[in-house]
Amino acid sequence: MADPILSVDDLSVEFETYEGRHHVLDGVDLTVEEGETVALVGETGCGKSVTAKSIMGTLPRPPGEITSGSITYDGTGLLADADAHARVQGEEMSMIFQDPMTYLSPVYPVGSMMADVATYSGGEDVSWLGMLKNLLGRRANRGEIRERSIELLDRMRIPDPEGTLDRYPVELSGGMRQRVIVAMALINDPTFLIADEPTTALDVTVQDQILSLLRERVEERDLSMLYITHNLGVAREIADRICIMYAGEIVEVGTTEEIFDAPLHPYTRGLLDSIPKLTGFEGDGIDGQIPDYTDPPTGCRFHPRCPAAMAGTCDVEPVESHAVGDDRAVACHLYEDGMSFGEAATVAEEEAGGPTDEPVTAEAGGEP
Amino acid sequence: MGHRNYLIKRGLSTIPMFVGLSVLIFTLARVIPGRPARLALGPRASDEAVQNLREQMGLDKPLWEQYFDYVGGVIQGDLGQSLISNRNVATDLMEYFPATFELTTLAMIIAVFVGVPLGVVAGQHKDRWPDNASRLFSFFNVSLPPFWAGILLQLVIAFQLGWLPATGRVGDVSPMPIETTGLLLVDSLLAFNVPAFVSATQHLILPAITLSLAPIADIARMTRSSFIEEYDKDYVEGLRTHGIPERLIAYKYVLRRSFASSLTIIGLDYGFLLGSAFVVEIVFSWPGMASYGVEAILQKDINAMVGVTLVVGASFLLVNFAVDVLYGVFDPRVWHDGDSQ
Repeated sequence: MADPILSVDDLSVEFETYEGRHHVLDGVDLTVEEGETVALVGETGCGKSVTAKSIMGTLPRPPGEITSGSITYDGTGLLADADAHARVQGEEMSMIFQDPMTYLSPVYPVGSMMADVATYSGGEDVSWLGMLKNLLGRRANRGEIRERSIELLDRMRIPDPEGTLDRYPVELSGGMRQRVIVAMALINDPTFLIADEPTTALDVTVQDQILSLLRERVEERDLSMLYITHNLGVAREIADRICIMYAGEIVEVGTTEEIFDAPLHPYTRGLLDSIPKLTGFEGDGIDGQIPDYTDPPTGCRFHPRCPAAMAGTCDVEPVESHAVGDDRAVACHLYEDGMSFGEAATVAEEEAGGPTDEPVTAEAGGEP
Repeated sequence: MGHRNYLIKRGLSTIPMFVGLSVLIFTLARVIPGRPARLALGPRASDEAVQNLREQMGLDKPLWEQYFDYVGGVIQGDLGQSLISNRNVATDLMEYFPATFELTTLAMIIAVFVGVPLGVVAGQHKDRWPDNASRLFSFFNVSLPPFWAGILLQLVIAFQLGWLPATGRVGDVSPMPIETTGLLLVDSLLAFNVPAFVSATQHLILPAITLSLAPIADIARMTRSSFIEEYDKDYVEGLRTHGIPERLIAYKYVLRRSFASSLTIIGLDYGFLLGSAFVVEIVFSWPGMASYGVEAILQKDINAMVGVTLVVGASFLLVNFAVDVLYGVFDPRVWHDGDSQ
């Protein structure tokens, strides 16, 4: 396979706040191949958005600080060269945001905002005169931009795309606004898309529509996408590959089918178990919550919540990512480098807790 | 659309406010101690003469009757006779009010065009030196009493440096433009009278600056705080992620939203401006309503007093109506809220 279009290596990000230094990302490794959709899945607060912001170059610094690691896009190192980062971000990348209610300016018609994104995304500055022209609606090539916007809104299946351009966000439903946000992200023909939980705020039927529109567009243009979500169900629908993130670390990587068929990491197993099912109403879920980043647990960051934690190992030794089988990776002391996939799956069944095929009668997991 | 409903609603709501205002002013002017008829005629006038004048002025009638007589007059443009000038108060005000209006308007324009950018720059650079400088400047402005700032400006700019005239409204210019609006700047422009325009502008600058200092500070502080709040919104982060230049984000998107709270303070400040205009006009010998109003109060010239206060109050109401309209211009959602569906 060719080099991945995006690769994040050993990325660590810390935040300086009143309470102290938060070690939020701890050596994140992530790759997205060309034309591939990768889902980054984890609980709220696990560092998904920080990862996205680091890639987009919009991490607020200070208080954020990238302490180590590199991000490479199509052969260009982004962290070393701020100008290159801005250029690549402007020309190649785009982002879809989470909340359609707050990511559109309430005081301009959506068309005005789309036109600004279309005009200025290249990163060029604007003169006072240019701004005056903009405010008076006399920007250059506005006809062409308008046409492009109408076409995109049409592709997003928005009824009356031309009229919608002149409407204010208050006049549109949540689903319509999210379509506008998606259209806005696509207006400059990006090659790489980051979607930060774009369907979280929507109800399920609308969520499905947006997902299929997005997938359609990704396939049609051969886009590469990093899709951030806390919802494994959504990840399953859209992603080719899934990265599970916990407390600032990628704990498991695998193709979508593999993750669902044979989850290896105890955290992944717990996550899958937390999905409400139609049969058996109570999942076991995972006890506890994401650790405090000012003083993260030593060893494996997951060990305080892990049903399979081994005293003397998991709470002491830092955990490394082990390659398992052909293209799986799992960061857990239960596994070793070079294990075959079959061996790993056996270990998972026996040791790692989480979903079992038999109905659970007693307290699952128990003392390790 | 809701434009028209909104405007009509706001417009109509100023009428009861104006009625209330007139009742209040009228009553206050009658109940304050002092006997206007006696004062007007002097201590040596006979009781009979005083009684005659009281009847002539209608002061012997019950208060409510006096009020309705007065309102009847106001509707016909008659504000009653002034005891000092022996002219109708309306005629006096037509002469003095335009000068005050010109002064306060220019002061407000200066205050908005200096205060708003100051607030934006401070908000963009929160807690760094531009912010601190702007805060220090605002602090000074608020703490300077206008008469003192005015005298200081006269001393330095007019007397020491001799750049601008210290007092008066216009220099020796002939011919003077014909009075059409009473606003010298406008009249001289209409008549293409350049010397008069230049002279009037020169005379206007110092008092207008003096008057604008405190509102500049108010507007800058209000703009700063609402700007900072708005600058933190999700859509700002979104625009930034899309690579929109910071200047466009700040002035097109964020300022438009945060300007609503600046508008509120602008409306309130206009009332304050009319108040301090009295002091500033006296410092700069500005032929506006101030000396007329002060004289009226000292002489218990009730018709003049009520007339001046009524005009000031009405201007304040009008400005705040304009502010309400502007809310809708800056945030179109205001129009929609006006729609009752």
